[in-house]
Amino acid sequence: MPKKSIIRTEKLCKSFSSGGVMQHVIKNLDTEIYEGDFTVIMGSSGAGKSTLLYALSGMDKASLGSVIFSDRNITGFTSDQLAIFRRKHCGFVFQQVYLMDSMSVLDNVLTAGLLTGQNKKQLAANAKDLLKQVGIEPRLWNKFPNQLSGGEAQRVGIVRAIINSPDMVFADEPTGALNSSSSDQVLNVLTDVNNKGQSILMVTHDMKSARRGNRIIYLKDGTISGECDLGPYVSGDRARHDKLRSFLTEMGW
Amino acid sequence: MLGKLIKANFRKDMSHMISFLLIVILSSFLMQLGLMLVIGYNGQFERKVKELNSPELVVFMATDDESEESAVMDYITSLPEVDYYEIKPSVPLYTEVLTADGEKTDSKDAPSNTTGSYYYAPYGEWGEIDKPQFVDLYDGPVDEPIYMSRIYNQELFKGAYKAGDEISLKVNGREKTFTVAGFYESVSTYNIFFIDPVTLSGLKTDDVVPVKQVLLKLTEGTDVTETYNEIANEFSVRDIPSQVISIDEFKLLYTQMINIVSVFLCAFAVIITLVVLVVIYFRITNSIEQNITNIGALKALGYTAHQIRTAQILEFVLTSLIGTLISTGIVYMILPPLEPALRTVAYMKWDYSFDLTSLMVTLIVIAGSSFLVALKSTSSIKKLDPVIALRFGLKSHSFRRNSAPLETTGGPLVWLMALKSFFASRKQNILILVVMAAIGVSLAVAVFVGYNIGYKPVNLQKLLSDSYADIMVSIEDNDPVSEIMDLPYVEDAWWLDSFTGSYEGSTVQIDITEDWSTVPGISILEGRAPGYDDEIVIGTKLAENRGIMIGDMILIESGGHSYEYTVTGLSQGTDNYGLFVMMNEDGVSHLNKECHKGRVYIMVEGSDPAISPKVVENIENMYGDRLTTYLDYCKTFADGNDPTITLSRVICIVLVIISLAVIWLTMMLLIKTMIIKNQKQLGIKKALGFTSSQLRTELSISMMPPIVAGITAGAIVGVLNSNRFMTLLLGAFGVSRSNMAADPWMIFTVIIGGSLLSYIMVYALSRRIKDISAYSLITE
Repeated sequence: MPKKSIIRTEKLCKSFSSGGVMQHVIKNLDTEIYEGDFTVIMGSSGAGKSTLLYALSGMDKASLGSVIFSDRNITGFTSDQLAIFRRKHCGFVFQQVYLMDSMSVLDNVLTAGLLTGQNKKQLAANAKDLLKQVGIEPRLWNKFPNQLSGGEAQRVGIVRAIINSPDMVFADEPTGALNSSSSDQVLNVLTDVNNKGQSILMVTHDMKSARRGNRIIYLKDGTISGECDLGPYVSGDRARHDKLRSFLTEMGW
Repeated sequence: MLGKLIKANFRKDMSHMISFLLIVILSSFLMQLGLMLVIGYNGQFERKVKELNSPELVVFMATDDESEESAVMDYITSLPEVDYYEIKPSVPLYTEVLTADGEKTDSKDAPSNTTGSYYYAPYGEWGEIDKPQFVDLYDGPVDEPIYMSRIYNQELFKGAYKAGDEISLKVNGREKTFTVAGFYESVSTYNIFFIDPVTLSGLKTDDVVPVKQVLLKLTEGTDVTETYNEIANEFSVRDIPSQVISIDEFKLLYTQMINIVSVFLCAFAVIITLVVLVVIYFRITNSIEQNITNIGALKALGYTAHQIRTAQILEFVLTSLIGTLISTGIVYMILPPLEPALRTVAYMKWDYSFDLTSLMVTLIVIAGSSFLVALKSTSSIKKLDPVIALRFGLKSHSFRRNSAPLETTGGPLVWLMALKSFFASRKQNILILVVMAAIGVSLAVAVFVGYNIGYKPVNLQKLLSDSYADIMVSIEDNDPVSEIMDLPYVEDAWWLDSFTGSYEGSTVQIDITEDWSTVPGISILEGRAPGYDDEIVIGTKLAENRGIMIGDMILIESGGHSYEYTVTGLSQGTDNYGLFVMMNEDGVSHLNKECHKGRVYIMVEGSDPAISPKVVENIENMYGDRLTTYLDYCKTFADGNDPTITLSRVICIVLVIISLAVIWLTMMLLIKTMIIKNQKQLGIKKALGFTSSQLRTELSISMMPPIVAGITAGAIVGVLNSNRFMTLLLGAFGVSRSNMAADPWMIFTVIIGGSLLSYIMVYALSRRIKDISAYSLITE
């Protein structure tokens, strides 16, 4: 059965003006991101990975071309329309976590849920359940972000991203600021979430993280220079690891 | 090195410092202008007194009995306190202002009460005391010259006449067209029209009793009040119609309104200075929090805490100094158009020059207090360890309590988020509370003044007079009350006569009517009106000065007779500066006085300003030339033709504008700081899907609790103390207890209006949130 496309780009361009000089970061990019996939965007530094992620998620606007997200062309949306769109359709996991430091763990999660008008009781139960699933124990629920470890905070960030069951979770270097043990925990959570059907689009420059994806898109100078289908993640699958390594080598990584 | 730091600070805080500078300009402008006015006008009066050789005492006496006059003059000259004197004769002549076609009119916008008895004196006949100082003389040929004082041009004709203008008058029944040949300034003889001596003798008739103005120069070191009482008593004993005025009373006439304006300006300058200081504290402590790593880096580089603090302090002190200097420029720029406008209340030209005193005082108050607050605010830098600053920053927040948990707190999400923001911003809430309390006070005073003087001037009239009415008429007829009562639209009427008397050597005004208890507009503060012939009500100022209480018996003397009366009540009024007594007609018989009942006070139906002119017209038709003067308070107040009302309206508008400007500037500064401080949080919220309008609403609502609490506190304090403030302002006039309306609706109006306007302003100012994109958060 063919995969259902969630995001589709048509001749997507993104440029920035810096000191009067135009920088074309994404150039006429055509691609599709599919439902249920754990898609990973890789590329060298400055290739336009994060720019693409934020252009696809409606966090940033395309300069030219269009982004069709859940059958809607979001290119012409106003800032407020995009904000409302993001509530239901997108979840975000950032490298710096970006939890709201004046709010407790539970409130950070509930804020995102309440924005979509969910029933508060059901939402709270769901949030607690998800927090438990990612290993955030009840004693931490009323703590503030600065009282958590980096890994704990990022797991809370993931719960916040999935609380509304969005069409897509966008993860920008989610393990970039974590130590090895915390990174594994976070990646396990993302893998679990994906296994339950959640589509994920992740940007990373870390091969260990990239291994969790089933599809790798390699970006070079603002265009897709190659793609690799890894298939579902299986822990300790050596062949999968080698396939990714040879793909990246081929891409000049 | 320090210069570089200061420059860097300025560059970084430029937009904040501009808002701060504007607030400083506002406060120093008000303070400097207030001080300049009070110093300038009081100094101008003293200079004028010296320049014109003005008298310490002036006695107006009207008698055609030459022997009586010479006896009283002998007495005056025998007083060792009198150095020398001059007598200036003038003639009171009934005058109407006419149009070109000879009709009686309000020409040149003359108020309706222009018609009346005015003093005329021959031009050129004056001595050395208070010699008129002529200004704006007309240099063309003039047939019938008339010279009037600046005050009269202002008071009677609203400053409409210029030198060379023609003025048609009906003087003592004869029509005359004069040319305004010039204006004069004089401290004590401003109430005279100077005309050609031949013309004057032609206008005068035998039945006119001339009024003599005795100008007294006292020997140096004389107690003016004591001599004033002695002379007033002498005239009272001899029963000569007279009025004694001291130089202090003239000073009050010229400077009191300016002093009131100055007090208002300085009071609000102090309020805004308070705002300035709170802003400095908030800005510096926030800046330290935000730039803690920079401060740590500077310390690590070798900058001393003293240098870093000095740079921070100088940033604000220099801005305060610059603001004060800019405001000085603005003050001197507005003085040329302001000075002529102030002549309507000051009655004299102010020759202003650079005033170093007011500039220095303003600099010391504003820059000095800014320095002290900045010094205190930067004290945390002293103890800051560079390593801790670089590694951990300053623990500005220690969120220990999860206020308004979303799981259990009900309400819309934006409101809940606002509630959370509110609980998380203690320092900022205190700042807003203090600023808004100050604003609340100023808005409360604006509403109080606006209502009691601008909108319902009768409240001020009640405060300033022992009795108030809609109309006062003076008729050359004894007891026209019953006839006036029969006129249509007249609701009530009573006559009132006044004599001069004394109590324990102090001159008091004795106000008499048939029965005070039937006068509708009587203003009794305590006790009751006199009911019997041995009862009186006294002015509160007299009671305070002499320690008299209700139930006391006091001896009143007048015209060589005396009687002991029981005090039944206290009344408030500015007649004779609060030194007056009120008794009934049968009570004054003990002093052997006979009342003249020609001065009648009238209340019209519903105190309607549309009706009162009809009543005046009816009285004019009934009495013709026998109506010597009238004052239609009702219409004058409704038209706003009174300088006090105009001034109070201007004060009220200025207060509201200043309050709104301070809210705007403070909130601008505050919101900019908050947005910069919370940029990350705002970006996260945008990424999660909050719209700009939701975030702006959240921010605005989160600021409302301290705004509403501050305005409420300020409104309550302001309204409850407005009467105290008015008592302070009008104390010199004889008001000892202002009791104008200070109603709860005023408090609610300030709270609702102030809060609503603040919300709108905060929402409008939070527009910057629109410019923060979630993407900028990621790429910062």
